[in-house]
Amino acid sequence: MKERGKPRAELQHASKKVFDTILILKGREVMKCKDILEKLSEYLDGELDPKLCQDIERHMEDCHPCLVFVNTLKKTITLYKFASSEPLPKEVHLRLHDYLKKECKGS
Amino acid sequence: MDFSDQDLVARIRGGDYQAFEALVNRYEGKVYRLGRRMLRNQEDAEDALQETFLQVYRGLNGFEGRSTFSTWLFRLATNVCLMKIRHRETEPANLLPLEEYLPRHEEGEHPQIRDWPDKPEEMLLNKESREKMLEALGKLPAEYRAVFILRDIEGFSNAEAGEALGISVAAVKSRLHRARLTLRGMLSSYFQRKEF
Repeated sequence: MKERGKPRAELQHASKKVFDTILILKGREVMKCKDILEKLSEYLDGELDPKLCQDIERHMEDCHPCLVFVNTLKKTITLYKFASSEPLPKEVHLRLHDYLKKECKGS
Repeated sequence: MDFSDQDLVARIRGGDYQAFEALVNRYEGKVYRLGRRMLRNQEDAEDALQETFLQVYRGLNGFEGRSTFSTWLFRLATNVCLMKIRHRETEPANLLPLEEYLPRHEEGEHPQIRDWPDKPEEMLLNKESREKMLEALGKLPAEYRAVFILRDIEGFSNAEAGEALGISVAAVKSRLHRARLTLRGMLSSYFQRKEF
């Protein structure tokens, strides 16, 4: 059962290679998965120039694993942001203020 | 009522202790959370919190206002945490093989990658997920952990995080990228098979 998707994936890969070769022949650089990987944080942070963003997006149209990779990387960041709202325990707050008063005012 | 950090700092220098308490109230939650994430253990986080604000009080005259107060405060707080970590015996080695968690892209071959569930909020209602995430963060080398916390959790810019940690913007970006990739890799095997 596992093998079922394989011929299709191979076909996609082969056709992508042909497409990439055409672009190379036209003198345009083609981004490989590895090149994409190095740029992903800057891509997600909006720090890349628009031309490179386009190249990455074009690559992802044909490369499902890279698309999923970007999605899960984005989710990693979002999840940590969401998960970070732990409140300061009241007793920790009180002990901090007592400690500082003692140390700073000597009382 | 709403004094700026700068106003409060000026008042504290003038001997107003209440202004110091106001400043502590403003930032204690953030500094505590930084400590919890850097050190994991609640007791150490509380120690770091107390030590940081004592250093703030004592060092305020040395604060020249070249950076914002919050950047300066987080620099102190991060250093306090890093010092504590350096004195620990159980901290993961600095040379944790991050590569293990990075995807391997061989020519013409892709690793099996599956997407995670689509609703982050629901994933987080699950206590086990939150614990997995904290555990993963705790496995990052401290210098990477600090960058990730400041940039992605506290929302610092690259420049602010660099200033707080005493490293260049290029180093911030490179550590952040590796930290994110590693966390994604560590969480993948968990979230990929999880139904929420």
